[in-house]
Amino acid sequence: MDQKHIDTIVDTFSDVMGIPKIELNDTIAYNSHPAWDSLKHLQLISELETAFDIEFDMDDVIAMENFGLVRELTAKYL
Amino acid sequence: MNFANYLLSDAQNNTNTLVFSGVEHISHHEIYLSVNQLASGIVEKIGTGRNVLLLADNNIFFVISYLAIIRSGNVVVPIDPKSPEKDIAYYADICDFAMIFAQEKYVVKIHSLIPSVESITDKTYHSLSGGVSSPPETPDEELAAIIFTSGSTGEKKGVMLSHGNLIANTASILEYLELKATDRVCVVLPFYYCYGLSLLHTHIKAGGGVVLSNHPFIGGALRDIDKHECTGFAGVPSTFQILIANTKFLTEKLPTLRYFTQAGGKLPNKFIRMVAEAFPDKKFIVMYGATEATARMSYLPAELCLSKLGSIGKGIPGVKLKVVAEGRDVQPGETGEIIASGKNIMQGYYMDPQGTAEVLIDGWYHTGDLGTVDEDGFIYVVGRSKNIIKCGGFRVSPYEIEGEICKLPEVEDVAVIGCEDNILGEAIIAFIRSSTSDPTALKKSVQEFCRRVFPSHKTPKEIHILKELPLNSSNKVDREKLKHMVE
Repeated sequence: MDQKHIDTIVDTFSDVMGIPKIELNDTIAYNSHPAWDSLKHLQLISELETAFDIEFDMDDVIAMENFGLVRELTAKYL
Repeated sequence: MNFANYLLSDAQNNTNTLVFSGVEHISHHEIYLSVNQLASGIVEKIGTGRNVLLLADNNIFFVISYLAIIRSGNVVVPIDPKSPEKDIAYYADICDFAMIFAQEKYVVKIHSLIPSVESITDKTYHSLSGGVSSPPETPDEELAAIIFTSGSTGEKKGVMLSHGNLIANTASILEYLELKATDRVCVVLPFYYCYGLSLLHTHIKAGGGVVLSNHPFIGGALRDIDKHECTGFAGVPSTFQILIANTKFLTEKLPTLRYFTQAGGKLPNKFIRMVAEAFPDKKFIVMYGATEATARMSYLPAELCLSKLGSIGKGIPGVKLKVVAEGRDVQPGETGEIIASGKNIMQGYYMDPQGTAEVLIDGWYHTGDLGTVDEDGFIYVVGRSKNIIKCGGFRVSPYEIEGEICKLPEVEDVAVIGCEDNILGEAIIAFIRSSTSDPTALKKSVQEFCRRVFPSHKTPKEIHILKELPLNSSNKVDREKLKHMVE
């Protein structure tokens, strides 16, 4: 995964969750960050799929429970 | 009778697992012991008849705290943990909480808003117990819970539910869903929401189990249903629409599942048909309810799901449901307001006698939903007399969204509408009148603002910047014309 891909993931995540890029780290998690709920998760998946023209497997979508996993699991498709 | 005692009447000797929550699980018997111990501790600290805030995700802490507060003879006020701060401050202001139960991750937020009230957390509640072996019994008419919901003008309405209300609705749902100790429901709906709570209530009373499916993506429920051999699954329209659109739901086997239930708004007929036809061996039960009716008012028996497609059925046992216009029952095909009466109808809105008088009239709850009936007496919802958007199963007032967006500079006027959406049931669309020279920048700043101040279900899906909003002949914003613009 090159820097451009990483930047796209960071931009998309920051934009959807409304979390400033400077505050992003791998431990930001679905069950602890107030901004991350199931509707936002759905939007995140949709925007990542559009940005990279990919389609995630459902098990990966379920497993993306923190920002680190979002990056790691998206990288599988790139 | 105390509602918690009613629910737990057979729990003492039931070693079946009641709650599955990730890797944790707890039996009916263990819940029974924990609830009694905690209830005793609550009575010792604050006595009875006080309001107690509960702020937690769906987990074992919620279940024990919720039941213990009710068991103690106090009034539980469960709220969305992601509620905006101004809403929590409002709840605190009118409820005068005597105690707070909050998951530790929410304690900082709560302390900054309600610093003077003691918080019991998921880390400390095990150590709270009292010398009272059994809290006093509670009459049916006493309050057990206040559940906040959105009124049509954006104000918060505290629905007051008595022990009798909760017992009546639970007994009725158990009867028509024929729930037994072998039933286990997969829960994706939050427990601060009346539909989610009704799943908890009915499965405790039945002696069955609840599987708390807390994944970021709702598709995780499909895995949980198989893993925990669930017999039931409950969803609002967006639950089913997301599963249909974003997973292989319709080709799943789900061999242990006996039934689906759907409430919380109108699921378009095409989706009802898709699910019913994909799972001919399972029941698909369409239901209708409101927090003001504890949870449930009507259901459509599964065998009529396709022949009465789109109907909400008839009143559940113990509930009279009818459609009236100009003081009389409507004839088939006519439109009127859906009204209900029964022991499940709320005591009123908390600290709001005027709001109560507007909806509770001569023993009937006026839902604000417009309906019609067919020749066989089956009821169909055709619209709403109140200006409410049903987004993701939640009631959202357009006025609340408009009021917040209007605070932004450069926004001269705003109109918010709901439009049919394949995922959310209804999606929120905001139209902003502005003479800004940079509509793209304004749109972005409104988006960022909304994401900051609203929970997801209240955040507009689309924002349109217009030079002028269309007006009708009364010079009011023409919302119908706005709907046509995005359809």
